[in-house]
Amino acid sequence: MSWTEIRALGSLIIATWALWFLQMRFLDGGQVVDLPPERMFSTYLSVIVVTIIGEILVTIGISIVGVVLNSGTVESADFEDERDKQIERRAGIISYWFLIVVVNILALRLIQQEIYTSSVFAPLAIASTSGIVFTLLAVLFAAHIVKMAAKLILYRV
Amino acid sequence: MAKGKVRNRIRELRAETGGMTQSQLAEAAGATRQTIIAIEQEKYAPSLELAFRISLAFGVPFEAVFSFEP
Repeated sequence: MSWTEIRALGSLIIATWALWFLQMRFLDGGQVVDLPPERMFSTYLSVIVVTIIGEILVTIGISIVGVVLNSGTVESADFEDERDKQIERRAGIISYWFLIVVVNILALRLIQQEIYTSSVFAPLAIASTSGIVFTLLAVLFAAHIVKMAAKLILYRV
Repeated sequence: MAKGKVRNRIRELRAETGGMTQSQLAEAAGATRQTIIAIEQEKYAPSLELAFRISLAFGVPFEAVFSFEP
């Protein structure tokens, strides 16, 4: 496993934790609960701070280990060649399309439940501030998870 | 348009040049070892620049390393 793959795996784990943490705070029985603004802000701050610190620690950790193990070679932990850049670009495109599909599904689902009052699906109650905050953050982290997972897969095929 | 395949003789050339390792080739060509592995296994077609760098690392002409199968 290359340093770039290890970094992607670290980022994937951090984003998965963030998504899990968000759903723990915002969801109850699959429905978004209305959180008080202070609790919403503390949740937002916790997720952002932990993910930023996590990413920094992963990057620093890999750089230090990379310098120790690969001293004197071109393949330092920060080194990226043309294939790394190509995989990064392709994973970015996959993540972008994931984002487009998810946002469109959410939009259509919201429109559909306004048109038809009865539905086989559970109502999507994300019109509240909690719902909007959760949806935006969850979609963002999910897109990042997709990007990192795509990177890991593309390195192996 | 049908996709062709870029073939290479990297494995043979590494053996011919006294058992050059993938890491040594990666170092000489300015790529990662994983990229050299992917090229060697013909899972990844390198850019023209990297292909020339690999040829230079072996000290042989470009066509001695790479060929194209339409």
